[in-house]
Amino acid sequence: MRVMKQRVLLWAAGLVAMLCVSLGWLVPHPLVALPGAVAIAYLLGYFVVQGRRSGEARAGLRAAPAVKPPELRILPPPEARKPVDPADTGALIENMLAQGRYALLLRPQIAARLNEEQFQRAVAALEDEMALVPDGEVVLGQCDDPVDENQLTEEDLAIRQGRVVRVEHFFLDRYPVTNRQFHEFVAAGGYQQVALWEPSILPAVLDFVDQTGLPGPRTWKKGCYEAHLRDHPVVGVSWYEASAYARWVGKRLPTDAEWVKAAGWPVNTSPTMRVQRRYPWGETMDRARANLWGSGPKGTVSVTEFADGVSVGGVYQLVGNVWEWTRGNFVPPELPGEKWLLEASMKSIRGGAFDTYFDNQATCQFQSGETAIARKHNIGFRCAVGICDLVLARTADGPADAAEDDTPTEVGLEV
Amino acid sequence: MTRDAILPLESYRLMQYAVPIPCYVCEAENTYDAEYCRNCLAPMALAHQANSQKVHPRMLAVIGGSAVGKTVYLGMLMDMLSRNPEKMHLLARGAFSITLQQTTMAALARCAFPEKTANEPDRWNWVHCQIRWPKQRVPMELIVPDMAGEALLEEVNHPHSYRIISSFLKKCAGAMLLIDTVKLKEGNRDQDYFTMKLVSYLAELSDDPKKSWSRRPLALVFTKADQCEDCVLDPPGYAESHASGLWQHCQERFAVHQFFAAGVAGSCVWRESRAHGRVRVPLRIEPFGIVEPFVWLLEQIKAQGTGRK
Repeated sequence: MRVMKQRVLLWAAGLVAMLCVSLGWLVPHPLVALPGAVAIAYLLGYFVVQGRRSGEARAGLRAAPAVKPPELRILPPPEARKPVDPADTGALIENMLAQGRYALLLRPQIAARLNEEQFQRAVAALEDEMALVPDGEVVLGQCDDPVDENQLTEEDLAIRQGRVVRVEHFFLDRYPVTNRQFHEFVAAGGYQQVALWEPSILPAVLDFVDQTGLPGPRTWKKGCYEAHLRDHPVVGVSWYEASAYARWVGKRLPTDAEWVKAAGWPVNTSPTMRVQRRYPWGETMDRARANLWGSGPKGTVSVTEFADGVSVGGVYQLVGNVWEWTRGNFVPPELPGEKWLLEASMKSIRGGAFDTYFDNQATCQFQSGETAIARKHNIGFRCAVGICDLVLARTADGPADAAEDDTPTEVGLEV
Repeated sequence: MTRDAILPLESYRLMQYAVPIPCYVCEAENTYDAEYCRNCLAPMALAHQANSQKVHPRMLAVIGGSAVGKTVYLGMLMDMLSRNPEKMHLLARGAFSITLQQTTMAALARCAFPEKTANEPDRWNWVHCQIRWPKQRVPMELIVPDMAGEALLEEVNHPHSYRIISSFLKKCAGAMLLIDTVKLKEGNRDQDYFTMKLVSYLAELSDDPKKSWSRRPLALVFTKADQCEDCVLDPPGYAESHASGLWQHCQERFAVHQFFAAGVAGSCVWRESRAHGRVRVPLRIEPFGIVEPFVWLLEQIKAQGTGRK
């Protein structure tokens, strides 16, 4: 409306100016010259103001920082493998190796079908991708917070000292599971394979979708991750999705004891004494070694970064970057006279994330909890597998015997 | 000899005693050794500090209902700004200004929320701090008290029951109004009504149109937003749909306002104990959206150049 009014005024002023100038030649009188002068002054004023405004706008554009639009490039699905003929065992095995399912291939039930070259490649992949954690005892549930111990009862002290748990040899992923790795699972139809999911959670699997309604982590779009997050840990996955992925690759989520054993790396100095680290790199917090609040990135980083924070066994980012789902339930230590009222089944998470604020909440011992179906922006996972569940060497008669598997569901050769 | 030495000292003290010192908040006259203002119970340390350091801090209010998270928000904000001087740096003025930060952080670090702020104004924690920006020479002096939600409710329902609140809010350059997202999500309308009452109280606090609250900046912060994804994604949209009364009020009566979402705890559960009854406890601390409303508010105050005493 305002623009229309301005245009009408402009046209009128132009017309009056032209008329007065033409008449002024014929009748040189102040009554003719005055409206003409006013109209010309209006026109001049208008063009001067407009010129200034456009100059300012140009200057503003120059001064404004060049804001690069966020990269929202979604990867097309070339990573989805080509369908393989189920009858072609060799092609199936190759496909599984490419998908990173080497642990499944090394299961006693399957390892026999591998030729020597495939077997050696699977073992090499296992050694590259996973770290061996030796068996031994680990203290779990120890409270590190400084308190006046004189005010505590013996029962309180016993609870604060934690409990000793024994773990057997196991392999733990060196890195958290990345978006790229999880995409293999999504592209292979992992969300549609009923055998991978706990029966009780099947109705909820339909709700495990990304921002565009396709199966996948909550943070993804169109069934895929943003290109620059390829090697970042996958987040926005529930405990059930993490467990399903672990089954698909022939592994499982680590138990709390296993996770703390890999991070704290306890060493027995005598039959009753052991030294266990507070952080994977030592006893003191160093924010240059882990991606926590105040470390700088303010978001997830690639799983290979913060290499200085690697554990003794060669496991990256056990502390920082993302919290990690473990297999166990969240069981907070109950002091006498205290009772925790958990609203739903909560699973244990460990390690702290990029937004963890306090040092004492990013230790090897600290345990937090989250509902199993939560799909948070800062919770990812890594997988483990017991050494007794794998065939790592071949005898002349075939694969060496492996101990009984404790993984709940065994998955056969599936594409 | 001894008497001769004492008398001049006593007279000096008496002379000082006779000079009134105005309270920094309500401007009532107090004696120089008063710890709290006899009129409004504000700490006289603020006035002494302003006099001795020749600074006139602006005042900022953090208000909201009971248990909305004012203490946690303020303590967390102070700690974040004093630890990470990226956008701006906070320096506490006086030891009393660090108490709030200390108690809040100590509680959160052991996975607990700080104790409820007492209703008595002389037990509130006051923060006098200096805000420094990386590229600006002149810092901004600020006074922010941690007021009790129940006292605010009492003052709103029965004006002049807490003189300190009305005196303080009249002088404030801007305010942060905290709203409990969890209660709104649960469909609890009390939160909306109480916030509307507060907004209405603010709008009618001053008779002078030049000093009225309608031109002062107001940051509306949805606290505990970690429990509600919709609120984090679109705070104004969430306000319009879940606190429509408040949203409408702000549109009509506050020219400069903005909605924000903030959270401190990653996850919360209930714990029951003989000593404390049923209390909500955080399982981990992951602050987000804490600094943004404060930065916005200070930018608005700077742009307006208001609030100077």
